[in-house]
This record gives sequence, C-alpha cells and structure tokens, in this order.
Amino acid sequence: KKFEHIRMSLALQPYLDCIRATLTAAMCLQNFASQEVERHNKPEVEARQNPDVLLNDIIVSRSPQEKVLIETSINSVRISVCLKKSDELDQILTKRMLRFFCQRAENFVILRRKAVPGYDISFLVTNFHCEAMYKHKLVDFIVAFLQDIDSEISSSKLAVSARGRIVANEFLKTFTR
Amino acid sequence: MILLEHINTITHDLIISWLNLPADQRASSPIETKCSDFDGCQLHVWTTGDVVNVSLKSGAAKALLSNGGAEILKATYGSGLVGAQDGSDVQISESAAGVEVDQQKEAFATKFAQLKSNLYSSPIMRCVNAASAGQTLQGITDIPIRSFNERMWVKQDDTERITVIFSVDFSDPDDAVFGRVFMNEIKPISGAPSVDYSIKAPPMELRGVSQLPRSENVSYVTFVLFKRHWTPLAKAIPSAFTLVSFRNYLHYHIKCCKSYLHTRMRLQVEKLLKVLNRAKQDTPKEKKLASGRTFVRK
Repeated sequence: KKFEHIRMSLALQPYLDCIRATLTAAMCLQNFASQEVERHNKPEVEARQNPDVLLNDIIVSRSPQEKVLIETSINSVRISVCLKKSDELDQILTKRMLRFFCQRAENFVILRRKAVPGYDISFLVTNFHCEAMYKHKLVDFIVAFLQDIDSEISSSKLAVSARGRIVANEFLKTFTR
Repeated sequence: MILLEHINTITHDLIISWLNLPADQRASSPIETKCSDFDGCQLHVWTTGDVVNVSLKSGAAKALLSNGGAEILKATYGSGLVGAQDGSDVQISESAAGVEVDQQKEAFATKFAQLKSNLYSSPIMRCVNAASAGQTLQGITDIPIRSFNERMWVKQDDTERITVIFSVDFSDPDDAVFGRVFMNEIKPISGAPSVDYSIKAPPMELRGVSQLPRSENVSYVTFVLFKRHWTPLAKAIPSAFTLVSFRNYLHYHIKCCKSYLHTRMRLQVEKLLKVLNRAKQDTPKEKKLASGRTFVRK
C-alpha cells in the first residue's frame, strides 16, 4: 500500500514536468498583426486562418482520459485540459468547479470562457500577456492550477462523503433515543 | 442545525410573544399572519379576542384527513378541532384563558405549532395505534405528499412491523447524484429502522400498486419501523414526525452541501488569483531618457 502511494505521486510529477517543459518551449510569442484584416491583431491560434503561423499541436497525456492539448501559434498559445473523472460524483464536482472558474475568466486573465470542445477547461495566452507578466511565472500558474484542481476535487469528494455519513447517522439516531 | 424541527417556528414564536403580553393587551394586539411550511403548506395564524386559531391548507391535506388524519387530529386536539372557516383544510381554535405559567404557554404554543407534523404523520400513527391494540390494518395507504411524483406509502405488515416508503424526485440531476452518495452512506445502526433505497425501480413492497411514479430522477426509499420504535407509545410520535420529514431533511442537506462546496471554490479562486498576481510585472509607465525626453509605455 505504501508503494502504491509513492507510485501515484511519482506518476503525477513527470506529467507536470513534461507539461512545464512543453509550455516553456511553446510560449515564445511575438506580436503579429493579422494578415487577413487590416489594423487587426488576433490570437492566431483562435483565428486559425493561416497555416504558416500555426505550429503542430502537442498532446501530453497521462492516461486516455487525462491529457493536456497545447496548440501554439506565432502570437498565442491555447492550453486545453482534460481531467480524470472516475465516477459521477467526480463528474459533477469537476463540472461545477470549472464552470465557477470560467465565470470568473476576466479575473483570471488567461482563462478562456469556454473550453475547447472535448476538453474540460482551456487557457489562452497571448503575446500581450507575456509582455505584462513573467513567462516562467505564467507556466508556474498553469501547473499550480492543475495540481490544485486535482487535490481540490479529491478533498471535496471526501468532504461530501463525510457529510453524507453524518447526515445519515443523525437521522437514524433519532429513532434510537 | 443538523436535524429539522418538528414545529412551525413562526407559529410557535408568534403565539408565545402574544401570550407574553399582559392579559388586557391581548385583545388589542391580535395576531394576523399567513406563513408557509415545507411540502407546500400554507398556515394562517390569527387571534379573535382570547381565542387562538391556526389553519392549514395544502395539496395533501385531503388525502391525509381521509387516511386517518381526521381521527388522529380529533384525538390530539379534542374540541379544538373545528370546521375550517377561511377556505383551508384544517383548523384548530382554542381559548388562551387560564394559560399563565411559562410551561403552560410553551405547551399551548407547541400544540398549535405541531399541527402540520400531526397531520402529516397521521397515516403512520394510525398503524401504530392499531399495532399497539394488537390489530393489523389491511391495504396500503398512498398519499401524494408533494406532487404526483413525491408520495408516501404506509403499510402495516403485522403488529410488529410498519413499512413506510417515500418516492423522492430530484429535479436537478446533480442533486440526484448527491442524494445517491448520501443514501450510500446509510449504514444499519442497531436499534434504528431498517432503510433501503432503489433508483427508478419501485421496491417489491409496492408490487400491485397502480400508477407508480417512474422517471429518471425518482428514487424510492423504504423504512421499516419495528415495535421498539413505538413502545412506549410516547416514543411513537417523535419517530413518526422525524420519518415524515425525511424528504425535506435530505434536500436541505444536499443544499447545505452545495453551498459548502461553493465556499471551498471561492477560497480556491482566491488562492489561484494570488499565484497569478505573482506573475504580474510592475513595469514603470514612464522612463526618462538620456536625451531628456520621456518614453511613455502604452
């Protein structure tokens, strides 16, 4: 049992390290005016009009359900995350939590209001973000986000089960008094 | 507060504060309030002179009255049970003359505040009374407590067992998942009624009953009460009151759970925003150049 626990946390760390390395490499962004519309400046990874400013997509996956898609272009990076959801409680907790975050996307600056189809949540980092914020700290933020969501969902699950136990016990205890 | 109360707090507090007025002021500051309780009950509390009146109106009242409610309320309130005057389903009126001591006031107010609990637990109490008298009532009592989909069935199996079945409707599918997690945590405790639940499929005890609610979101919960839960008879009333409020108890705690999760999410948002703020650079907006000009960063 002890080794299983070590194995689990070892499995997470290489996943996060790989994501960190890929993001650091992908986040080399520069300003790029739109080639389609005059005087416009669009994140090319969202517009997807011009194949020569887009780079190849990379998927870093830990398991078929748990993966991160990193799409890069000359002036923007889109990071989409698919989280592990083992049962229905996991599913609704993840859905609620991520919807909560997406509603506050403005505060989170680099968060995308809607996830890319097929994924749970997406980030969009543009060259303007990189000018205003330190690049290595942005990568830190995304990796911290992944870790925190994971631990938050598992502790919420335990909390819900614990509450359920108390609720059920208290109800039945009233009959034994 | 983990357990729900069995009295209507508004009714109780109104009557107590009215009783605490000096006797000559009671007629000049009458109570006239309409309030509501769980399960769609509307209560009307009012005083006429020295008499306190409480009336109840709800969708399930007719079914409850015809299934033992009328007899049980008659036995509990005696001459206090009167015909409903204001278009409601049940009314009790009693004079407050002679109610002086605090204990009497408490008992008086509680009697009125328990009207709903008494009415809603009457099918169960009817079976309890029959079982205590050594008789067994035949048939299943079927009451639509809240709507077509949320019903209560009461069946007396013999003088030692009474089965009560609820159908609980979760309109929100997320609620259904929480409900299932909570129901999974019910472990048998010695001395407590046995509990069983099933999702969608009605339990065996309801075989033969027509028009059962069947839907994705309907779950059935079965409780079996044993003789120890109603002997001595004084124990039966709180047991029945608690049992009848099961559906409201479950939904109340699901909502509490959701608001607790919201609090956790808010804390998580703050934590992550702090991490993000560390990423922000403070670049100076203006910079003076050697040539004397000022460079302004847009």
